[in-house]
Amino acid sequence: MSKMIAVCGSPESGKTTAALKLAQELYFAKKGTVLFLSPDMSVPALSYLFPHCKESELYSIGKALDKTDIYKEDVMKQIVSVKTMLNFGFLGFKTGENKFSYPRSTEDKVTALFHAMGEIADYVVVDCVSDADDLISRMAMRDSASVIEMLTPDIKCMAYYSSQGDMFPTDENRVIKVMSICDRDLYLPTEETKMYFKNVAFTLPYSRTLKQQVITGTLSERLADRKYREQIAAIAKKVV
Amino acid sequence: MANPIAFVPLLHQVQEYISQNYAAALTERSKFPQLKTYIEKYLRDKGYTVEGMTTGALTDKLYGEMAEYSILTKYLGKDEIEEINVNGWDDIAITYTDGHIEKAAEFYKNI
Repeated sequence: MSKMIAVCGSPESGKTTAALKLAQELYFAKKGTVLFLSPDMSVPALSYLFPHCKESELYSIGKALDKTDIYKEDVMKQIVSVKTMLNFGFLGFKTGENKFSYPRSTEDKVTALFHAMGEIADYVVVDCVSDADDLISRMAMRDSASVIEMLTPDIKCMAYYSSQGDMFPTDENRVIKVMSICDRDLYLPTEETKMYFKNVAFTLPYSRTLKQQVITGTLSERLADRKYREQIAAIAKKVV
Repeated sequence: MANPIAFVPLLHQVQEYISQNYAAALTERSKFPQLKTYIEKYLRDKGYTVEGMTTGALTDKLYGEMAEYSILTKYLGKDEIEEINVNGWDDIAITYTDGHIEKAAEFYKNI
């Protein structure tokens, strides 16, 4: 049976990188078929995950969501894949697209999309949008077996969760809180933030290699940083 | 860019567009919520506006014509209404449970 994992959290908390690295861990270590879905229409993920690809090599999940009925075949047509990961698919919006490119999604369509993705993959990792208006993200958080809440050790993150708390699941059994260290130059109140949020299960360390991947547009490649990967492996073990 | 148009020709265009591209949204009741999203997208892409109506109100009105009972929709299902008599295209009488009768302000257009 397929398992859906939603990765959510405050803006700039490393959701996309953590979600992608978790998806890769599930693919390489757990030998699963994996789909990575990014519903972000403000900054379409495919444009920066595959900056070197021609537009004709990228597809858009918007095309599947535009249909009145969404079947497995419609979703499969929109999967972007890389040669090094044969059973790993990327789904998202591509360069130039925005929230006006396609009709608004409706609940029945998103349910059909999740169902189709579940038929294709063992694991579906959804890189949720911070904005509460995004229907796919809200439904992913509602329907996922595990919800990974990304936190950063700063006041902005606390403000985000206190304002947007209603959109997150209240069912503690499904929630895994993960602290993300996005900076190494400054003193970060990591312990204080952990005390504030309580039950922070994992901490993703700062990774220079990961930052390099973001800058060079090579996030779709496997990360060499051992410490970061150890934490991701521990999270993968927990969600599986 | 705004593209002003009259309601009736717009309705014809939207009906044609939806039936050609998203027919299931017109025929399956469970897909009616999708219909509004396709109407919204069509209006946005073409920039159509109808004088005196916001985009939201226009979308609702087009939706009402296509998926509901046009000008009668707002009267249907109300406990205080006993009877609706459509006597002619411009003559609709609403009989209330307390016995009083009112002529509806709306009328059918020649479409």
